[in-house]
Amino acid sequence: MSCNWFSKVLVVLTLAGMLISACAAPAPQVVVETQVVKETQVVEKIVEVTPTPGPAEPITLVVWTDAVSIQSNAKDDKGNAKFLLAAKELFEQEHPGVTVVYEDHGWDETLRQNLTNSLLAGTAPDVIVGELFFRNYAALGALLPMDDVLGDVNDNLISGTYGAAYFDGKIYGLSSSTGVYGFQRNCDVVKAAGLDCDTPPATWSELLDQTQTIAAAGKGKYYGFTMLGTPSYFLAAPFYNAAFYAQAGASMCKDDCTAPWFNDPKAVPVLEFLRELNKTTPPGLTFEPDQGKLFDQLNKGVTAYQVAGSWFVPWSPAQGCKDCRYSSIPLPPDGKPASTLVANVMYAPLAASKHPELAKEFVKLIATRDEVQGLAFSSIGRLPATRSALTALRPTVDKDTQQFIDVLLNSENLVTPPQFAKDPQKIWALYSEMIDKLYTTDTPVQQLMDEAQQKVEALK
Amino acid sequence: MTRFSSGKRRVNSPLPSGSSQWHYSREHTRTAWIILTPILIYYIIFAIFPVLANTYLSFMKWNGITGLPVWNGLDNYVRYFYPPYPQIILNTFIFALTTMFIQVILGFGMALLLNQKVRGLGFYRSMWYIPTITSTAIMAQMVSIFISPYGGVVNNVLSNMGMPIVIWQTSPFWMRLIIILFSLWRGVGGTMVLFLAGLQGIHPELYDAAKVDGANGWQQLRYLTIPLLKPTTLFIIVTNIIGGFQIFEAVQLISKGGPFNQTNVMLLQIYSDAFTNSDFGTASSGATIMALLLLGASIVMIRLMSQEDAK
Repeated sequence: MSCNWFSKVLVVLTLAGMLISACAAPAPQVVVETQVVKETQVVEKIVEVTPTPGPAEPITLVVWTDAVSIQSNAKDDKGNAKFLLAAKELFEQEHPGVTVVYEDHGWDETLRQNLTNSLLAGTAPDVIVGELFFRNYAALGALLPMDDVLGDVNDNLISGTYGAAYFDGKIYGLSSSTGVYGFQRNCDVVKAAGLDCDTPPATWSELLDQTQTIAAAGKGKYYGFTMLGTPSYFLAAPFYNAAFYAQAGASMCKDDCTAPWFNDPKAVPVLEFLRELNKTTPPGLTFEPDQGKLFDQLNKGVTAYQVAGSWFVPWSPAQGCKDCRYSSIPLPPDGKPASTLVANVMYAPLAASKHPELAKEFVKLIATRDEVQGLAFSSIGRLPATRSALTALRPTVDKDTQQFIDVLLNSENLVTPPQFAKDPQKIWALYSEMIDKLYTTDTPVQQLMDEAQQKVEALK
Repeated sequence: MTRFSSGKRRVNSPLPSGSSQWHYSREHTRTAWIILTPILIYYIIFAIFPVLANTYLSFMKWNGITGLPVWNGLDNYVRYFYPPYPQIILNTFIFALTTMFIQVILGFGMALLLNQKVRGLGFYRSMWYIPTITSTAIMAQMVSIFISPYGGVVNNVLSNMGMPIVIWQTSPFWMRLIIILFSLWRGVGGTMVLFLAGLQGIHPELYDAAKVDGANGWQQLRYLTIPLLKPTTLFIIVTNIIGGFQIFEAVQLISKGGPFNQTNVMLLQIYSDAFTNSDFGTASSGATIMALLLLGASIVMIRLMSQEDAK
């Protein structure tokens, strides 16, 4: 055999190898599989469930979940299992032959991108996780309605928690754990300004008076309020402002919340109030892109008041707040109590699932079974999303967390920012522009709102 | 030297005549196709096909999640005449052309300086090139820390000097300037290296001859260096335009397109249209428009440089 022939073959093989390697399937996604823990929680309420007959072949149910749940600590003092682990164990017991596999594919934009890619590639999971895009996906037919499996648990659900997955009269996803905004105060700062910290402000005017007093007394060392601005995330401002809108009966949307409405007349006093409140914040803090750093300023004694999530109760002392207390968000004149659901982690069965009924059953299990819901707080520091689990949790937690639980149990006005089916990124960019100008200019509020609405309507 | 499969040939032997010549050509053509076919297949699958698919999708309405693409005519292209797209296209041009012009001038200047024999030359060249090889994502995070409106490095310095802080994130001017400076910082090293290679390709005897003819430094630069560097300059300009149009990471990580869409660029909007707005048709039309704009800009620059040559 001549060298000439051999060299040709070598070249062809080399190029073929390069082509094959280029066409090779991507490295498999890191799959997080939880370990079986021998110790399990003693269940007070025995649920009689007949395991379904095993399938002919083993089934793998792929569930995308969030990093917080995957990374949560294994055990509390009573030896409780991890939140996700409990759901996996229970589901596998009741569905022999089915293995639940958890995967973490990021959050927010990263999650949306990975989900879109997986749907295009045909490698979509059975169950997805998320917070604020389920209504969009339901409108596109990407999710499965769950009403057929929820009949026996409907009354136990906190209705606001699945509101973000409610579309066209059907429920497309459920919350596995949730949180809610409340009002936080650093009493060291409040007292330093000469105010009484035992009686928090109850109205917008009281809050404004106090924050102005605190900012004046601080002389640059401390300020009245921490406000969340727009740079951190395109939904940051709508999230933060939603509670104030709801209290005043104002809205960011119309036509059954399918279209943006940025010049609702009822929103004028809301934005005027937020503008004045922002003047009592530390210079530049409102536009800090790092939310952790932003909210931490209260812990460090730089600000006195802020709207805070339910998980701030354990977080703030760990960050240095010696005397942080909580109450309801102050109300406007003639306002109604309201709050925004935050960290409302939801699961939904995908229409592309290879095992749709199992996917629905899993979502129902993780979101409604007390054996799982009861572990949400101890395992991942978030509140459960069912009435029974919240009621059972309440006596075991501190009084501050009890306040947040009370909001979830009793509030008729739990809101989330609107989800727009068409061009949500462009719409919220215009809302953020309005808020930026609200805080950095003196342009009349009605004018800002009208300009924002005109620009939204000009979107093709 | 060519080789036949039948054995060795002597160097510089004449080609065989008649049918042997035909066999000779055919065999070499076959060999060429054998070598090229794998890479052609790769190129068709990963370059040609995506372009064709993108062009197809640009005329369709599709969310990328469910259902099939539906014919949408030119609607996706017409959208680019409505807000916010004209602003986005303008932003992209501003970033691309500003960065390109400054990089070329700065890169050329640095290459001239670093083409001298001075002590520590290797160190200086490395220092200028290091930003090019750093991770954009990490450096963009560093920039965010620097320009953090609350407690950021720059605002701390301003405060300590008794000056008011600047909320960079609400100023279109400052955010554009920061992104341009960041792009320059990262890109000028690569431009400098290319100019340096071009300078070192100019034979020193030409400069000696010019000196003999009485040319001073400026005349040598103007009549010798710059004309001889024209091919290199053209290459740098065209690649910088292409790179400038493709700006994404810096904007995504530093400004996220704000404030008021004043730093939003085409690639970022294409990404948002695809994955946040679930509008693959508009995203595809954006990619096609960007390709055409890049092609047009490159042709214009090449023509301008050619006209300079003709003069």
